[in-house]
Amino acid sequence: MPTKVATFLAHALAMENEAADRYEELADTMEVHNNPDVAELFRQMSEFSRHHAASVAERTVPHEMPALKSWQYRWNSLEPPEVGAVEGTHYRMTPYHALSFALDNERRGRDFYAARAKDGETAEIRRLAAEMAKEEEEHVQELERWITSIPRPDSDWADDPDDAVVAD
Amino acid sequence: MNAPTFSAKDFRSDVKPVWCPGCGDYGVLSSIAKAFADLELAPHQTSVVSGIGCSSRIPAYTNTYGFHSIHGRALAVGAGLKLARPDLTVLVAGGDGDGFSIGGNHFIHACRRNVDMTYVVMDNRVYGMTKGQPSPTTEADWDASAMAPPGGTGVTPFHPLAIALASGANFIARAFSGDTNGTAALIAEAIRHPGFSFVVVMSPCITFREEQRDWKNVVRQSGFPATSDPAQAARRLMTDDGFNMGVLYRGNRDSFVKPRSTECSIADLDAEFAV
Amino acid sequence: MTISSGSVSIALCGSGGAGVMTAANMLVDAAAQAGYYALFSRSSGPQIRGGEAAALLRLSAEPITSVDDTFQILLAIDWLNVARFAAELPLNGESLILADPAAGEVPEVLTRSGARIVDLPMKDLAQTIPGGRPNMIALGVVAALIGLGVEPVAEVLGKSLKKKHADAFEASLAAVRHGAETGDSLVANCRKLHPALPRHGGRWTISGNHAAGLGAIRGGIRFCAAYPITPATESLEYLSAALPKIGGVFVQAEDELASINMCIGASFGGDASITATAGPGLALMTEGLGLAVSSETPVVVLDVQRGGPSTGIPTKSEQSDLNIALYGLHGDAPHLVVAPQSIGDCLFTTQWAVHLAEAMQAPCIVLSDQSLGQSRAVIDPAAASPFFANREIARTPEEGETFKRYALTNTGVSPMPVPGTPGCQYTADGLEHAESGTPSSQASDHFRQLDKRLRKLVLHDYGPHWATIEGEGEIAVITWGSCTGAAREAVHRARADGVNARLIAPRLLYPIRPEEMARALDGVRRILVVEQSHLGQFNRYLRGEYDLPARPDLLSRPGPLPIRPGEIHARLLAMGK
Repeated sequence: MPTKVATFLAHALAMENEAADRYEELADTMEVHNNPDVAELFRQMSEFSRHHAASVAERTVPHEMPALKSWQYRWNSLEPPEVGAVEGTHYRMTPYHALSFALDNERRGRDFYAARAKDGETAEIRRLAAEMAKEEEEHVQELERWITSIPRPDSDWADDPDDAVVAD
Repeated sequence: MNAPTFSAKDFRSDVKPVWCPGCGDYGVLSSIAKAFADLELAPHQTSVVSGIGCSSRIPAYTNTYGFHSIHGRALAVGAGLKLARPDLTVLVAGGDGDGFSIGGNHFIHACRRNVDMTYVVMDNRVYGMTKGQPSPTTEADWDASAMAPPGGTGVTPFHPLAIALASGANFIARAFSGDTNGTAALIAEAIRHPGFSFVVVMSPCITFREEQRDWKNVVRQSGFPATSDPAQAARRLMTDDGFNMGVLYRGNRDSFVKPRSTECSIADLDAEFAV
Repeated sequence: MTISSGSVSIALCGSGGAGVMTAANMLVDAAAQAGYYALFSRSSGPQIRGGEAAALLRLSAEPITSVDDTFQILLAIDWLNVARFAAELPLNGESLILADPAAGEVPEVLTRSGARIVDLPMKDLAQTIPGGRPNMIALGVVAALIGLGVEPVAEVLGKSLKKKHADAFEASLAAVRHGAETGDSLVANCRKLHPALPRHGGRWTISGNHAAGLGAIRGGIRFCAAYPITPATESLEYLSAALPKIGGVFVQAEDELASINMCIGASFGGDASITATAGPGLALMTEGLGLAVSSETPVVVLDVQRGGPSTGIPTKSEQSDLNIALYGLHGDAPHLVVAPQSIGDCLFTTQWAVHLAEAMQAPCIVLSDQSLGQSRAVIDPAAASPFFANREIARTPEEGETFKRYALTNTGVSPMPVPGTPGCQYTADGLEHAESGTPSSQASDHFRQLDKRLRKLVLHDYGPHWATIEGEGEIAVITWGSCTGAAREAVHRARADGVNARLIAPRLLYPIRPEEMARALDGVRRILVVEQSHLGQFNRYLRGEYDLPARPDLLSRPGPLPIRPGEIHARLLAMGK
């Protein structure tokens, strides 16, 4: 039986890793769809998430970590809270959209940890969660500052004068 | 020493998908890889077979023995493979047009034949590769297509889950692409379940069915324990609103298998023709 | 001496319940027992039961690969609906019609041949024997008339009836003996079989459909998915029984689309695979065949041709699927097409087809037809042949190497892994692809892969089996498939008449073999093309694909009537003047 702390950390680690994987996939997608600026941003976000994952991984060192299967995770959302939903993206999205998307993700991550900091089952979980919530809050603030330096998109950002193409 | 276990990433190839950013199929790809990893399968003992369409591009994005075949015929290719190679895990994947329109007959017969394989249909109720025509699961009144008359086709959508039940599928589930872990869990259960397992994954097409971005707000867990009573399953399937996720039917029919053992030699076969 | 002078052709007619097929089968078995060769085809109405039917036999001391020009004996238990297939019963003044007067007048369509008519009251004769039946009387009459005698028939009756149905055996045997005595007393001057030659080794009795099934298994086929269709069904019945005995798999698919694609899936999994069908099924399979070409998945399709297009004449033979087999695939899709030339050759050619498909990782269509598939012959046993499925298999790559499924090799054949091999995972694709298998629409990839898929077929060494080439002379008969037997007999007859002709019958129809054909045609000044199609499909193919030394004369006719040796012989004599 893994400890409750270990299970909590397994969730945190999975969330950060899945967030990183998702950003990486979105970066690839944007590359394929010829949106290099947003691809670059998602690539950066993926790296940030990998750093977060690494810092969570450090905290797991003292614990015997469980190898959880997909059906053993307990999230109160469709996906781990910090993972950006696939359908929240668009091939014409701008860096502003990408940062807003990331900001939403980080806020959900922060809220997740903040909630565990309050309702965590053990004191250790609450302590770790509070630490991580603080880190996430820093990321949120960083993104909030960053986004102010990015021009807001025009209202017609999604317009595409050309038709969709047919493939297979 | 234990056999090496593989992570979800090991089941992904380095080919980058051509799917639109926002497409639900990304989630399904991720869920399939997770399910394979969760079941501790090995990439070289796994096969993903598809037909034609957006979602049918999926084999090339996996690091398995993939087969991207022709429109509508994936289940036939998959059944042939599984009957020839029962040792492999065979997952057939595709879209609603591929599976229920051009491949409709194979779908029915795959359900009744009950070969031990898993069929994952990414249902977005539209033909994406050809620019958004109505599919067999498209709502009768949907008309945002150059090929649909104003007011929609007026044709009642196909009910794949009910058809699967009526045709003898041994496992029936509905999933949502945005729920990657839940979908992975359902696919894993489908793979483990003997016989023909059918998982419809509601997978939004954000390009031609923009409104499907809202699906994530309306899907819910079915809340019912899976039934093995076809009558009860039929009642549930015919009365639900299409947004209940989970295992909807878990049957107990034996898989269709072809035992392979050698009882005689070629010379024995020759002898049958001797005068 | 040509085979026709030493053979006897017999037609037995009667509507459902008369038992002419049973009698004919026993006659063939008895002839085989006595050391004769036989060819047995049937003509039936469309009724599942109770239809009019004719058993068409040719027996000889020499091997038989063709029907004869006329029947020496036509025996009818009744004449119901006989007009429907009267055209398939050619008679002449030397023919003998044996008819039961109780069945009424012999139809004018048959009497106008000038054949002798002899009354044979089979029903009355049968009634004199307790449990006797007219068909057994008929069997005895014919056995006596052709010089086969009662003994081999008695032996066959014993084998089939004695153990289980002693009463029926006694009654049948008595009827056969009674028939034989009657036959001897009734008719003089009937053509008799030449004495059977001493036998070396055993004989086989087999149909083309069964032979193709056995050939498939000998070649290494271990998977078959198929949908029933006339006239291919017997090959499927055979495979469904035989494959499980040797560790293979047979599946009845929901349609031909599923059949071909199941076979492709199984072949991808490592099993040599076959499906069998007829024209309409082949039409449905052509998309799948394109996939097999593109994904380089070996598969064999046995097409037992019938009258077409559409449902056409399902129970009759025709060579009219040549075009679809050669040219029916979409895109530039080089593939293999072969055709057996006799019932026995259905075995060799199908076995060879498995070998070719597997060696080149390409689909191979075997063009049999109803006349081969559904006819039964007594033949010499099929010799062993070295052709076996021998796919070039990919192994796990060395550390640091990446596996490329569609690597551009010199031969055009790239090693194909068996799923389950670590490190060789790839995606087989009907989309054009790069060497790795990754989809590509680039001109260079398309060209290279098209070229590779053609190269592997063209460079293969097909050896002497690509064609049957016999004889010398400035006249060449070029034919294919089931017409080969009639053409061979015609060439022999022409030689006896002093006209030298050579026979050229390609077994390999695609890819073409220009150099070999040029050698075969060396010295030829006139050509007669023989085929069974209305459009002259084979003639068009020859003229389109090969450089011929002369514009061919054409003997081409659609089914259902077979091309008989006499018509070819007559054309050869005219050309040789």
